[in-house]
Amino acid sequence: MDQQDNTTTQQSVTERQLRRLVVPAPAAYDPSRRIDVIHEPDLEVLWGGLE
Amino acid sequence: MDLVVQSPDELLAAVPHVLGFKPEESIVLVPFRPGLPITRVDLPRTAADREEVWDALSGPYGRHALPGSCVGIVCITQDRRNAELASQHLSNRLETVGITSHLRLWADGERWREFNTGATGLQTQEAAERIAAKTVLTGSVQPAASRESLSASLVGDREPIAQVLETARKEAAASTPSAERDWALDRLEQFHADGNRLSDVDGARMLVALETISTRDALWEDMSTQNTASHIALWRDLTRRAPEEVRAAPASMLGFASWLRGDGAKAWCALDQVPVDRPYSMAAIVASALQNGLHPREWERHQAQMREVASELDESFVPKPPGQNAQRDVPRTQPSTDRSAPGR
Repeated sequence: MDQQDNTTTQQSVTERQLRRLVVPAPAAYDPSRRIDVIHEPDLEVLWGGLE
Repeated sequence: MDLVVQSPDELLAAVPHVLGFKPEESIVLVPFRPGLPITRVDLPRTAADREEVWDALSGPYGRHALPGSCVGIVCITQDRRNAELASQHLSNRLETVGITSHLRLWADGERWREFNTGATGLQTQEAAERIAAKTVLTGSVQPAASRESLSASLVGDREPIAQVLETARKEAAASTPSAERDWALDRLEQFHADGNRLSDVDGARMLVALETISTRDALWEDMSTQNTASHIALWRDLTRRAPEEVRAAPASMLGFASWLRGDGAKAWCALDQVPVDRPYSMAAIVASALQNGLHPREWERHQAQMREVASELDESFVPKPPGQNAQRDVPRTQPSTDRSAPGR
């Protein structure tokens, strides 16, 4: 896995669409700094039925 | 609120089920209400590391915080002192974006301590079993033993496809890119319908087809929140079976599909399967989305806008029937007959 987004000149249309959404500009891919973000997690197991 | 988790011991037992794996030497931010994500980061060891962690978290948490947002900070580490420093630092920073930390919990696998109150206790097998039983009842997949084992689950037998890859390449060379794209889209549709694992021959053909970027993008653009489970099943299987030379594309597709379903941890594990010596721009961009904590709904929103634009363009370019004004994009001068004019 490349650690740099160094292929920007060859990005496809769909790649460019995703990249435009990434704000701020894409950071270098650093395997040593993983941030695992779970969006819309199922909180049922934690808190049961939320009111 | 119908609490399932009723103690720090049970919260610690539940965290792996929500993450999908058992975290080690980590900080996990657990929201108390819908709206905020669950996040796991490696436990920072120095003041500079703590600032870097906040730099990374401030984006997604700043964007998603709502009035009254609150989280629990769970530190899982042998190093209690470091957990106390890191959780206090994070709590202070979260406060600056309006998020309250209701608890700062430390655990080392045997004991726990809640730093805000000083309460302490033991991590018990009973709590782990109770929470596991609850998740079995809901049909949830049981968590992996570690993040590493989650990654290892993406490594399968890669030899069978390797043996037919050369033949697939020769056949693709004798075909045309558009014919291979049509085949790939049809095969994807078939997979959506029956969910049957691709044969080695079909798998090799699909992996070769993915080397044409326009074909890969056509398959990529098929993904939506409605069919992520099917895409994840397909690309997970092909990532497990793909030899190194053709693995970057399915691993990146799996990474994107996992992110689209909201699961950043599994998305990272997929990207780990992209060979180190094969730069692949899709993987790098998906990695950036993960690092920035981009919410998948942003992609859905963007795709909807693109479809709207495409639809408007289509309408503009459709030839008008004879007798109608052929000019495009002319503002209407008369109100539609089926709608009342203002004030009428």
